Amino acid sequence: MIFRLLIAVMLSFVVSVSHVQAQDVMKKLDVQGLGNVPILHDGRIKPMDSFARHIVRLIARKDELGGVSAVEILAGLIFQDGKMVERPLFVIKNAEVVTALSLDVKRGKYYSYRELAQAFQQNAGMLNSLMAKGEDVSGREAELLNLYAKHSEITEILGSLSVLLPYSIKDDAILEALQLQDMDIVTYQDIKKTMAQRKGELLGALSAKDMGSDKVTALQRQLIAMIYSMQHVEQDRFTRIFRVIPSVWKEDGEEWFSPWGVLEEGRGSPVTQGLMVEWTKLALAYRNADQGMWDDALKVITSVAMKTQEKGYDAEIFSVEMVYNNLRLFDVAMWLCLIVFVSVLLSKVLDNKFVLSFSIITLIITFIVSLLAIILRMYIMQRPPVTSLYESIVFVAVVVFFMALMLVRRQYALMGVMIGSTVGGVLLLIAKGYEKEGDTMGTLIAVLDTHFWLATHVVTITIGYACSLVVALIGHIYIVREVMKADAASQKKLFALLRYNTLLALFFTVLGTILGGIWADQSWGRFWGWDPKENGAMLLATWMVWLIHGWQAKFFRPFSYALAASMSSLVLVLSWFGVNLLNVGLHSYGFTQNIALNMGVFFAIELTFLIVSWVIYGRRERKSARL
Amino acid sequence: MGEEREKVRVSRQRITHILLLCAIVSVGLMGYVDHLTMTAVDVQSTERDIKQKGAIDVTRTQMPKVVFETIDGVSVDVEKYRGKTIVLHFWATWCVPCVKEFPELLKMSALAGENVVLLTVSNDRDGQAVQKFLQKVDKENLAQGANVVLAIDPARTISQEVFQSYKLPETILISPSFEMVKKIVGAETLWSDPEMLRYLKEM
Repeated sequence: MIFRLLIAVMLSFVVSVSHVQAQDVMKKLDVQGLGNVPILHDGRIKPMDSFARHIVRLIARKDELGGVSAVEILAGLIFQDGKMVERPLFVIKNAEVVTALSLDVKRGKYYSYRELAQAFQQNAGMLNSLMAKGEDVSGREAELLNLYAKHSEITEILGSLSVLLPYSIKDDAILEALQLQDMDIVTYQDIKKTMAQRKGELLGALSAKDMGSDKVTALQRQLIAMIYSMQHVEQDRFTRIFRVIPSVWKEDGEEWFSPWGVLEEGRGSPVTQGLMVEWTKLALAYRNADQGMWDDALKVITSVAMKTQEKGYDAEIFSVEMVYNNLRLFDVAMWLCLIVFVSVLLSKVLDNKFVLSFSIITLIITFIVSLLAIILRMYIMQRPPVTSLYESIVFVAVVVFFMALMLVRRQYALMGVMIGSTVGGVLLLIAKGYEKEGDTMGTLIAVLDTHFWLATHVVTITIGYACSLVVALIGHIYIVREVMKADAASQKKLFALLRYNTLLALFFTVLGTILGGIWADQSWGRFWGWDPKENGAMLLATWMVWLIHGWQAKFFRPFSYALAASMSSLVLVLSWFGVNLLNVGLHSYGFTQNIALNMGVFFAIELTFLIVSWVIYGRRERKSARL
Repeated sequence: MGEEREKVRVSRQRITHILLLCAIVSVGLMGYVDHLTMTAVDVQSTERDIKQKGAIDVTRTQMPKVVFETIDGVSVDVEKYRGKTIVLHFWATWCVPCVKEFPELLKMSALAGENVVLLTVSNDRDGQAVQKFLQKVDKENLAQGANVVLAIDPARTISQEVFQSYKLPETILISPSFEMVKKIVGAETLWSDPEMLRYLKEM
């Protein structure tokens, strides 16, 4: 830990003394082309644009910051732009973390890399003791460690190109002493090479005790400073995050390397050498804000990557991913949901059919937009639509939009539009929260990478989740209407719809659970293992069975059936999110404070609503019975 | 009857409106997507540009044209060995694993025959260190290996600036068609193993 801390501190020193003194590079240079460069990250070749967004979301929880795009921020970091380390990039929402690090309280809640580096240095002791605690840390402490981990990741990014960044040595005496006066561009490698060969000759017979004495000449003093500076840079040799160099060696398979990795792991070749020279030119172009040089270097880098198709790169998928990143279709769908919701309320208030038609059309567009997003994701990832919690949320949102449109078609226009816009919108909002955690297109763990069973089981069970959600919502609407004394005929019709949807939910949850068993049998060699997620899915299916049997056996009356149907939302949340919080089983993601808190709040609101409705309805029933 | 017709008319009108709106949105979306894809790099024109500028040779595994200098001060163009398997070995006398591996390489060269060339590139400062070292190793093997080239690269121009060889010892196996087939990092102890010899001969 101390080692990493040292690196951070040293790096901030190196950044300040040696590299880019870029004067408003962004104003003069268009760096967006960097977004097209391929990089291997999280086990997948992706456009730099996706990588940049992942990094910026990780630290700032946004796709861009103050009008500066993710690619521009990343360019500033990798080329060690002094201004970028001073720029507030890290968001700290928890005031306790700010206090613990003795940082100034800011209204904007954003802090720079350098501010945090200093804070971590001053609190190294505290961080050490927190790390020693292991998993036994409080929420605040966990956030602090999380912030430190993010800062370390940026430290790694800052050092990822230091092996090839151009140095500006202005003193001719040093250049001459190092015999580098004829070189156009001087990098760490050049200085290191000449230093290794001529160190003794340059420093003479200086001993440790000579240092600081009159024996040391001004030139020697500068050379000593340079040796120290090189030692700082050398600390970056462990950086592996920036994998932009495809290996030419067959034995490396689809592996790509970071510039440091190429040298440290001995995977260099004439091609990788040529590529690294182009990266140096790119850095120089960035420093001098030279658009021509920038574009030329970028073209070579991109073209070499394009020639390495067997290394996991596909130009078609690449351009689709760029389009997907830029369109941000789920954000568009979320805003459309808001428009639908407002317009449907307006249509009710104004009693205007035209406004209602507008909201229906907008809902159709919302469905198309979100469906398109899922199709694009499937194409980019070349895999089924649901493979993670994030994807299950957006998929359920799309299914909900579809079911809402089906309700509209079955003459439940108002209800359909309301369900679609509210539930779909809220689901997309929740998904956006997950988006901020980083890349939503991560690599699958091996067991999930069996397309057929994944496609059938996960998609079916997720449709089952969506149907259960709609059942719960229709149940809520039935309850509200019953409490508001709606007319019996329309309530009867609505109740039939509720039962129909319960059957649909039962079908998909049961089928999904059985298919899950078959998948588990294929993957793990057992049909059922009482894993919390398996139990959760079965719980939901059992709930639906109970509802249907309860009605058939006349155990339920319509209102109590609607109450039980509404409670399927609780069962759903428990099996969808809840089981992931448990630290047991194959689907565990570990306990997450936020999810637990949000679930608690949801349960409290839901139970309050149901109990209050039940009490009101019960009183009214008793009153009418007495009369 | 009239009411029915009116209903059908309204429904048709509504469908027309929906279709029209979908068409407008689709056209807008297509235009935007087109604009976005325009910003992506045009593959063919990029490759053309690069060929014209004579930048990196993207035929990735071809052996580059290099001229080595032997410890005796003789220049050797690698082109001379086209048609033979080349074992291009980067090493130095101050590198302990290299020193351990070197006799094994010489043994391999003696056993592999004429069609396998061992091209060793030393990172030492001068040829003297190499000469001194060679006096210690098995002279018999060295004498028998007629296809052994002992080159020296004191400025590391070829080792580092062409082949990016930093982790000594590193060995690149080059096929008779000048294809760089494999890279071995670290000391390989099985150079004279029959399987290795067969692999080198059949490359």
